[in-house]
Amino acid sequence: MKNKQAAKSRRSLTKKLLAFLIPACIGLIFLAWIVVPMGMAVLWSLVNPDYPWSYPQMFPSNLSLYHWDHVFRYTDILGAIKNSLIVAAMTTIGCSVLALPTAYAIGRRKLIGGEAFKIAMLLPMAMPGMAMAIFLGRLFAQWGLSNSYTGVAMAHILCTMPLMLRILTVSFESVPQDIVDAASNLGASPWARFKEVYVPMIIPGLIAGCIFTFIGSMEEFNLSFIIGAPAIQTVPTILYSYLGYNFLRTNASVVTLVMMVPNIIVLMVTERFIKTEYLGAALGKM
Amino acid sequence: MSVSLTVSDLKMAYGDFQALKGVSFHIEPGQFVTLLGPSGCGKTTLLRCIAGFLEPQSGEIRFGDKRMNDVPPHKRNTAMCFQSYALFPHKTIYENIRFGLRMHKVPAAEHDALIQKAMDMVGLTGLGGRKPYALSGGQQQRVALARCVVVRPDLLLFDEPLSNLDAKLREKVRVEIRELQKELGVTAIYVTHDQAEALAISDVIIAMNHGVIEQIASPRTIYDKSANRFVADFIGTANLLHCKYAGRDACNLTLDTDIGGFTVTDDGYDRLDDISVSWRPEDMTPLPEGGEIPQGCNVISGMVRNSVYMGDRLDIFMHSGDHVFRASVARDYDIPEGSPIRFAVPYGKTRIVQG
Repeated sequence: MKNKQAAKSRRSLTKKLLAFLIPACIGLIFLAWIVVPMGMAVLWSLVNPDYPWSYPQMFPSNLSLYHWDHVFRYTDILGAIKNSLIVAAMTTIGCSVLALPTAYAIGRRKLIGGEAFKIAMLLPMAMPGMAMAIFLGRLFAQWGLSNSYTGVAMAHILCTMPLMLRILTVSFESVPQDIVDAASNLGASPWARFKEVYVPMIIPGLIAGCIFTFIGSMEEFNLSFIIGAPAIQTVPTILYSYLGYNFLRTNASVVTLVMMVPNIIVLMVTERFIKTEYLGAALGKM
Repeated sequence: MSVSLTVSDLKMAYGDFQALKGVSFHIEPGQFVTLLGPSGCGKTTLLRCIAGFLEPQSGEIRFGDKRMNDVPPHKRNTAMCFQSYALFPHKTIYENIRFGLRMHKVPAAEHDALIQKAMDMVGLTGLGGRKPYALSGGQQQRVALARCVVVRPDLLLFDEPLSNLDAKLREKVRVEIRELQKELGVTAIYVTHDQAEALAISDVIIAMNHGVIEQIASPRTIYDKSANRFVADFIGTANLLHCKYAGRDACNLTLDTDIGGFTVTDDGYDRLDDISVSWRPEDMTPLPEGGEIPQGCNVISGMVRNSVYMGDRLDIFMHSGDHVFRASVARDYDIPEGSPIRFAVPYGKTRIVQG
């Protein structure tokens, strides 16, 4: 009896320890992965060029907004942000419009070779971005799509499509058949079922897909550079100009931080959207 | 408003599995009909063919005079209550019930009154603003019911609607469903594997097994005059014993079994090959030791193997020859295990069944 109690208290102690250790570990990983690089970027962007930051200093000895001023003065970063936003918006909308019916067909209809198609649609993800960019660039130049928003957005749609399709296909598949049947039973035509049942129930997936697509497009370099440059300059093309032969960590840090702003805004806005309402709807008792 | 339903020679297969092997029946307008059978018997497939979710391979479905085979489900004007309730999780209760009205293009001005009436009918008054996940299972099934009746369907379909509810609630909602159906006068088809539920709720029971209909009859008939071994055994409990026809006189038949002869009141039995004799446990009366055998009764003697106290009755399992029979007697009997026992079963309560 006593042994049992001792074992029990030992077990509960282990439990308490784990309950502390696991979040602590996750916290540490989070720190290492996100906070440290971000902090470094902020510090590097604020280095005063007259007081270089070098080993063994833990922190820069003098801070200034010199590099921010420089980037905003000598590159068209505001124009690039505008371009990136336009391309990302076009990509997100285009990708959703094309992926919705496709994912519906794969997820809900019994297609011949449907399973094979599900695997095939992930293949573009396996292709190196640069390889795709070089061939697409040639093709788009021939078709007169280079140096245009449409061209860059089309290329972005191509490389963001697999993930969007995957997420939406799973979303469509997980709508219970009974709910679809109930709708048609109550008089809903195929179009009404799509609009009234499928779309509201896949919204969480669609929003997740849109976030990935938007951020993917915002950060895409290869295609933007080869198809868009020089007419369409996006934030990543400016960033890469600092990462090349004449490597400027300070300016690159500024551009990186600028690039994060729209992404963070998008994440925060959608987070508010997805929250309770739709997740509750999708995961509630059914 | 309510229609008759005619199903003729309906066949349906999933790959190699023949789910319906030629099913035919007719239902009068306003009847409450139960499709009863064990899982895999084809009852749900049949219901889904009637609703139009599944397309049968051959055969015909008619609502009244109208052939429905090629009519898509959303134009059949049926309404189904699902086992999973199948409420729209993203819509409020009010919007769930309103869905059918919108789809049927009922003028918007009438919606509110109709929805309130339907919600009153099923006792959901005041819950219109909630989301489905905020309701209990019983309440969710009531929403499903309201959502069905509000569109005034020609045919009300139920696919094991009460299976996910606890026993007490199941009985309560079952009575509500029946009352609602009577009030609306709508034809209803109800799928269940629960024989007690089927007996309690139906005008007509269609007993199914392995994709064929075994018997179509009223609850009383199907219980008292089961057509075959399957029905006798599936609906309630039956003692079944293979037997051979030995002869008949003016009003009785005599049968031979390996535990002795049986006499059965003649009910116009015609097929007498491959038959069993069947009687219900509650029709067995224990005879006092050395007592006189009452007139017009078969006597079954044996040894008590166990007696199980069920609260409302005592169930006795007795050995007779190689067989085990079950008898249900009044709860105040106290019959010790291992003692010899004799039971009387009236000729009229002993039946011949096929198989």
